[in-house]
Amino acid sequence: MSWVSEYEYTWLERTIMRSLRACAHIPHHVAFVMDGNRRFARSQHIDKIEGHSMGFAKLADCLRWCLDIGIREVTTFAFSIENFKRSSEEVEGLFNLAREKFCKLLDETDRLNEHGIRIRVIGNIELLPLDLQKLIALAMLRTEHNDKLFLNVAFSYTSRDEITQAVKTVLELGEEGHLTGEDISERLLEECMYTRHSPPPDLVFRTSGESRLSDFMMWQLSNSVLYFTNVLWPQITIWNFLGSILAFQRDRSQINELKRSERINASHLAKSTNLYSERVQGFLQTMDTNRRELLLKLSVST
Amino acid sequence: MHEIICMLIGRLLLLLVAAYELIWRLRQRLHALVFWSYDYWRSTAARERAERAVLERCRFECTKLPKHLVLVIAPNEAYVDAVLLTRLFGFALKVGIQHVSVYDRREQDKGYVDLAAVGEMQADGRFTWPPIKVPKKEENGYKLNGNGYTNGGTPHFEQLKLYQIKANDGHALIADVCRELYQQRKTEFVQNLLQDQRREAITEQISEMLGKRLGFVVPEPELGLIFARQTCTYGLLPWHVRFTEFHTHPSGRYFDVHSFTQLLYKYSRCEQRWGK
Repeated sequence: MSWVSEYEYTWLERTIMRSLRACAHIPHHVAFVMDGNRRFARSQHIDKIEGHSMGFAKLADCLRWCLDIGIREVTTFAFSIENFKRSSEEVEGLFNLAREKFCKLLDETDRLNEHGIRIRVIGNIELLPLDLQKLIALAMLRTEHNDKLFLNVAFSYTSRDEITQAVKTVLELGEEGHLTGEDISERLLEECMYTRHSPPPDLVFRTSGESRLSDFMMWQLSNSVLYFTNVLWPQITIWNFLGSILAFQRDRSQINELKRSERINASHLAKSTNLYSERVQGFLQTMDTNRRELLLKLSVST
Repeated sequence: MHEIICMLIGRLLLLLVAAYELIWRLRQRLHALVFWSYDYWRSTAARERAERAVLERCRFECTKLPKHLVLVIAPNEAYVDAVLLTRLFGFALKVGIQHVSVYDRREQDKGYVDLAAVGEMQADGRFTWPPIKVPKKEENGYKLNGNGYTNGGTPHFEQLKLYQIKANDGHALIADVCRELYQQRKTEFVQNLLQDQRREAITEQISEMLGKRLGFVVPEPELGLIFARQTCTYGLLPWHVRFTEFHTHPSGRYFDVHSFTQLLYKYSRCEQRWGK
């Protein structure tokens, strides 16, 4: 199964999709919480891992829909740090599935480059097995020049860990970057998140009827439209997806004013806390270099 | 040609959605008017008796209840005021919820509810509800000690603990904690925190420092009620609401004891798996 499916649209699906694209605003960034794989497996009397595998197939469909409707950035919650609490058999099964999918991704790099898809894995990847770390690093490095669709895979991720990581980065590299106490603000922390190069999600889509966020992108989704649906992830259809886009188009006007004022406040804060100063930009550059060096180191590890 | 047809279909679709929204809103207002009139015409005692029965049944039937409820009020919400909040606090107290946080994103002149006007401010800056007028000893012989009991054993006043959450209690507070840790970066304490590869020690430290700043001595909110036309957290405490169940009460819909108990039933039915 490829990362972007060859989904065949019916005439009606294609027409509605084009209609939504033609006359209203399409979200730039959509985040998916792919919940319900295990419940789906239970309901179909199949193995849990088979359920996760079918969930991945649905992600490939979803990426195709996003690409075709004009969404530029997709973030998916694949594996939480909290999921390490599951049975070792299931965790190992999930890692095997990830190994298989990242190997497949490396095989079809040309196809991803053709579509302009950049893969970024966000999370504490150092908690993962070494061979998986290597595959992830290779996938990120091989697609780093693409810029048509950004796919962020949250793997070994929790939002709390991401925020902690940002604080830790400031504490560890701040001295070297000559940061002062006045330079530290929420804007600086935002720049230290894994999602530093992404805008916040416009729409968060969660399946399986749960109405919580499960520690996913808590920092970033302050002004996102949250869309919860009862359908289990492997059962999601293009109509559920288009329904969420329509809900976003209906709701965005209510949040736009708040977003605008927050943007203005953020810009004032950035100026007053020297975010654009040579010193702070130098610090951020060091952080980027360190992150890339880590990927390079992992990609050549044996 | 196909593009033009798509454009027309798209416009028609949006028009249909807008028409549906309008009809739905009118229905909500009509529903609100009917229920408000019903509540208005029956006596307060009869209403309270009926509410108490519904709440008691709910308390009995729910397998779990939240200890901490957070209310989120959207910046453009026009139907939530101090009266509604007071009724809601009353419901919460009767089912046994101990803590309620209020996150009102409206401006002062656009309906913002200040808890100081509703509850009773405590020495530590928190609020309690309902405000209790302590009877004077010389009037009736009562003397209250710290937990609401008189020396003779009665009466006992149950109070809800209220927290007013402000917009700058979210990202800005985390930045504040980071700044404080950065200023102490050379101390042995902070250096030890940085040694932990799994980042657990520093996570705990951030939690503790945020808790102190917020005045929270309570569990993280388990249930969130959003008063808005759409579901959005509006930047509510990104550190604390990671496992909060959110439900939206659509703007304009009448809020009564049944809306409240429905919320609790939904919460009671949901299973929290904690990643397992």
